[in-house]
Amino acid sequence: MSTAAACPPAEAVPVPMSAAPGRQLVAVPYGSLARLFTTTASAAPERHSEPPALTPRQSAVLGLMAEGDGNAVIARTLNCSEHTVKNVIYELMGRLQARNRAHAVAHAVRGGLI
Amino acid sequence: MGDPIPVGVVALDPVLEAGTKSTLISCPDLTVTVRAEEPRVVVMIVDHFTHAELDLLRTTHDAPHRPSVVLVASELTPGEALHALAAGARGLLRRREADAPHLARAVLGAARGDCVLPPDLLGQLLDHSRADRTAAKTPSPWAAATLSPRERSVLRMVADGHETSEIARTLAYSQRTVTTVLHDVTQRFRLRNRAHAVAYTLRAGLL
Repeated sequence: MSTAAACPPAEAVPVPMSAAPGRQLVAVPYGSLARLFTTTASAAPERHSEPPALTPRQSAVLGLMAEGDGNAVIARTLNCSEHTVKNVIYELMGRLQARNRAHAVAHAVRGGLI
Repeated sequence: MGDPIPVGVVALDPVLEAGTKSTLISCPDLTVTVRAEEPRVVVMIVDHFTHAELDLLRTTHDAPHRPSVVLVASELTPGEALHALAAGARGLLRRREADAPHLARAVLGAARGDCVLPPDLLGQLLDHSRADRTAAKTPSPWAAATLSPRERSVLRMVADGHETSEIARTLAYSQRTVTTVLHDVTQRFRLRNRAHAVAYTLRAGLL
């Protein structure tokens, strides 16, 4: 029983099976990553502590704006008319109190909305 | 869980691609797409993550149906990981960790809008973003992938909603300088416009 003697006791820490330890992964909402990694110096003075809730369509449009897409591409990607995209953006500007697209996108990334 | 998530594979070589596909097929919550189908998540397997792989990530993510990308690389430094995330990666794994359960978790997480990554890499990213990046002088292909103080001050004003004329007035630059600075940044990081530049640099922790 020389092999049994080499076995670790039952309460020993499990030995990793390979170079990949049975380590767990963590899941972080993509929107909160930027907030975690953004240097505090660039955090804009918050006008409202609670970021406004967005509809799924508003989030989708904002997400594509953040990737640099124009209205035509956003409309094609979301399968709607450019007119709809313009309306959604108009509402977004009001809700986020944003002056322009870059402002809206910055607000959304900093607030963890997208 | 509903319908299985359609997932595609982008790999450097056919053997790796076939191996990854057969790993993914073993997961009941996933279905591997064939040629004409549109995957919701693409698993991209690379060796090193250089500018070429960053471009590949972008091209993959820019497909009309905008798949989320789970990046699997041999090694990822914090700087590389941040650029991958800013370019749209929704999951980071190292190749030695990419077994079937981990791949499935990362793909399902990406489909949900989460970013799945190893906890030690998350820790490194947090340390990296707290460190003074201007002092960091590690020679790497990503050394140039930072912002100069001037670029940072202009981009911060863009992020705060200011137009070119206001930025020029506040920072005492000519409007032409402001435009040039922004043009340089968008060219260097291959970004499309100001909104893209603001989102990218915020997400990469550069701003």
